[in-house]
Amino acid sequence: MLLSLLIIIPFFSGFFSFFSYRFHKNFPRWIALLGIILILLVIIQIFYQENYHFFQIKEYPHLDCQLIIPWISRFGIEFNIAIDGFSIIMLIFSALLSIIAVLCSWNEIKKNQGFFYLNFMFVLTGIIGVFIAFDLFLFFCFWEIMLFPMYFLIALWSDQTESNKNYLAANKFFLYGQTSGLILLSSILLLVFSHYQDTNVLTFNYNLLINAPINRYIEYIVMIGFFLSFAIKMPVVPFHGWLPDVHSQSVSCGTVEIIGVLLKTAPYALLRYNLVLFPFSTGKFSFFAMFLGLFTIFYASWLAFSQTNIKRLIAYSSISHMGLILIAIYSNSEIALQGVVIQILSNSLTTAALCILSGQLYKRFKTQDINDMGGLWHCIYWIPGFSLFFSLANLGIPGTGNFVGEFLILSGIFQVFPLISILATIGIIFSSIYSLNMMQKIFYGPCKRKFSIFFVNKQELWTIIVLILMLIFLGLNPQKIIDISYNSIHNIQKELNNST
Amino acid sequence: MIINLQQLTAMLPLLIIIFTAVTVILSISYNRNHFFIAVFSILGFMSTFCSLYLLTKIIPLDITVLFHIDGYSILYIGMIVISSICTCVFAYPWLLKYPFNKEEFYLLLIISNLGAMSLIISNHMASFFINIELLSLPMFGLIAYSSYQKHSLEASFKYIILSGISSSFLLLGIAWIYAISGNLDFLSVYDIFKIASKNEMLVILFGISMVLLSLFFKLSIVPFHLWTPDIYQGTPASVLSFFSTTGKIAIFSVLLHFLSHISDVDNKILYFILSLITIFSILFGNLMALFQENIKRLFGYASISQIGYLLIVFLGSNKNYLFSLETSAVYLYSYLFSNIACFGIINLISNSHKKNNANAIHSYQGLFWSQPLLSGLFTLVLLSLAGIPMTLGFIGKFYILSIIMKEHLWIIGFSFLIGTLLGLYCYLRIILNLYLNPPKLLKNDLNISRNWFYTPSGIVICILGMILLILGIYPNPLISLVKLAI
Repeated sequence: MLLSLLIIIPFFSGFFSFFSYRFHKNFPRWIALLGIILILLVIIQIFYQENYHFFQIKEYPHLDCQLIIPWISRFGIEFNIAIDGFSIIMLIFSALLSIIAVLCSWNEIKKNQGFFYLNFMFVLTGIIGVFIAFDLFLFFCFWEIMLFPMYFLIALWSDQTESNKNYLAANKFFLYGQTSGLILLSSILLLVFSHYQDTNVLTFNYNLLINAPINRYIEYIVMIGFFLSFAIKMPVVPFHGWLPDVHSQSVSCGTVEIIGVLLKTAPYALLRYNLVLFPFSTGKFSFFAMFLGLFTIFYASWLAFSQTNIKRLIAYSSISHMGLILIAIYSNSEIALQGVVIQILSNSLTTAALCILSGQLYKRFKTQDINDMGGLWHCIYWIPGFSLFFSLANLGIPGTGNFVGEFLILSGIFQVFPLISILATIGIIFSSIYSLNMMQKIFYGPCKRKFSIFFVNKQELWTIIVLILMLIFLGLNPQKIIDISYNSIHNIQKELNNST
Repeated sequence: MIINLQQLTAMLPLLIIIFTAVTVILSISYNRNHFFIAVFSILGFMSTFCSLYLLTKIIPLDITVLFHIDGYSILYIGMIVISSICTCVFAYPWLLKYPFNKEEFYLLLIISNLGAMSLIISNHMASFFINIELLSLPMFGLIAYSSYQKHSLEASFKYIILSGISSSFLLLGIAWIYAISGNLDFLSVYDIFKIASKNEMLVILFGISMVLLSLFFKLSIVPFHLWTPDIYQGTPASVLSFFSTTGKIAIFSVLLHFLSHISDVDNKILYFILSLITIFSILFGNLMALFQENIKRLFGYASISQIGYLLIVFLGSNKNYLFSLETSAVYLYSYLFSNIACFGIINLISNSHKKNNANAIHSYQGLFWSQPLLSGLFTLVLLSLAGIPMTLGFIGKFYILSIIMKEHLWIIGFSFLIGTLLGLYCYLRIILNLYLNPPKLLKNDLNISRNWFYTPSGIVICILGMILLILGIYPNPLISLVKLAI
């Protein structure tokens, strides 16, 4: 029953925060924060209940805690939510990042707070749902539902001076997201109906579909459908058009939510669905996917180099890291898959932190243009240092989680595809170039304009310090994360190996 | 001709409606009382709806040669009665402001409803033709009811002329079929396919395509769609909630009935034409809707594509015939509820508009901040029309996509995806408008009273919205109802 709370709490706290706006202006944000903390507590409770540290010997499908309620029996759809090691990590992590997102919108969002937090909590509901849904129909529903509140977050609370651009970006986001959703729905239906034809069992249940033999051609089509839909969300290069726009237009809280949590649903789904449901065709497809990943790394980092808008730069760097994750997912090596988990977490921490920092800069200087800034080191306390730390973390210095992630991924790939690993390593050089370039242009050098010296307020300081601590924790003690998720990752990889 | 008690019971909905119509006529001629007539016609519709329950025990049944009632016709009649009830409720506050004779509106509505109901159960070419006319003739009057407004007469005239042409095509087609079959029964059409020679086949095919052409015109499918946006623009919103549902549902059901008899015949040409028409109406309707500034025109174009989605049902093979029936019923229910609610809301808003024309999309700007509940409901309805999960519209789309995937109709599926995306963008424009900041320079013309919620139309809109949401999350009741009727 604890599991259903994970859906119920954010949903209703969204509602409450909307209606509490009438009573007091500040109620919504407190309710939202309280809701997320409650979710975190529930997750931790589940975590300790199931004793993830000690026994991990159960057979796959290893779902420790499952709730199944029949839903639409005509199609064999169930309300089936469950949790395993991998999803519990993603859940804890998205709850933590959401707390930070709420904190950094604490004073920023002044108008229509109630509606803002309603949307925010609904996005969170969708994301949590994606992580715990084990019925394909349910998964699709959550996948679609989080688009809509996100659309409002982008369209309504961004910088109102250029509202036309906002709507354009929001529409772009929505249409890309909807395309991804429709492709996903059609592929799910194709999978389910071909399963129905073979076995006469109409079901959307993940665990039943895993073991189902499907026609090879159908499997291929469905796999490509799933891949396309996740690649749009991820985003991988030919489908990445929405991210930089959305990213540069939305408020810093919105971007934290997008980059930190929303984008991470796609690699999660790739691991959970693509690899396990279609092991045969994944093996054949992996070369192409890796090529796309490599292309993404280079293309995005080169484009990042030429950006003049900080947020677009961060967006491109995030895309480029997604390329690395994509390669690792398709590399069929267990070490790389474990690296993916670490990399997903640490990469979103870094980019989220950079977004927050750039949001703070924007608050003071009212510009996101790199060329307008310069020599800011003299006039701000804390922010330049933090930025330096996070951009170094972004390119993976030892001691941070990014290093561990990249190291695991690259060494994992090296055992299987040495050449690709070497090429991917070169990508890191480019990422260091654009990071340093950004640092140099914004914080060092001569002042372009006269800025008065200012301090960062305590709350902003603490959010960043928490992020730093989380990142260093990931860097120093990644074994914890690997242990928790080991079983699920191991099973995914085993599934893949058995078939090829 | 002898009619036994069972057949008389089966005629009960029609008899009640006829009785209501007669009473309304007499009441008008004796003493005009708007309130009495409105309440009486609503009560008449409600008792019709209740009488449907008596029918469930005796179906399937032939009532003379002309009519045939089965579970499906009861479902569809139910839809039509619901739409009529809602229209009466929505029209009442609108008619209160109407300067001329108010009561005839209900009369026209009742007669048109009678036509629709008997069209659904008709099983014979004669009743088929007469009831199509009975359905559409009062419609002219309804469309032109607000004849003092700008586009109203134009719309009505367009519809009269084009509808007349389509009726003549229908007669022509029936005559061609009759020339070979020598019988006006629907079943004879089916039989004749088995025995006709090659030359005769050609004549029958021509006849059938004439009949189809006229039906497609009434459904406003792509090559015959040009009238739709103009007529939607000129029609009052309360009439639209009737016009866009009743006419289309009744005619679709008769099309389903008609085509079900010839679907056994594996006819390549018909299939090809159908799929071409489907693809074009999905794409074209949505594409044109993108560029509309008038909200009614937008829904006019969108309705083309919505009926286009529905036509996919016909492309399912015999193997999945029952599933197609189920799909069409579920989809039509979602279409019914969303359309009625949509036009109900538009009607409510334009009634409280000072100049009585809240037709441009931007006149809805910032509605959310003054009317959160109403625009929340509007958003829900639009989402349902666009087919977003957790609304009933999504269940309908889901069914249709299931047919596409079951039958591997790749090209149709592709156009379906593109059409859905385009359509989504149209609805998104309206939705975004609701949530923008209200315009400062323009003085807001809308003054919706705060207690709109307590008016009958407000309650109806809320109920419909709740139905859309609840059935969207938990569609089992609807599905089992539809499955009962098969």
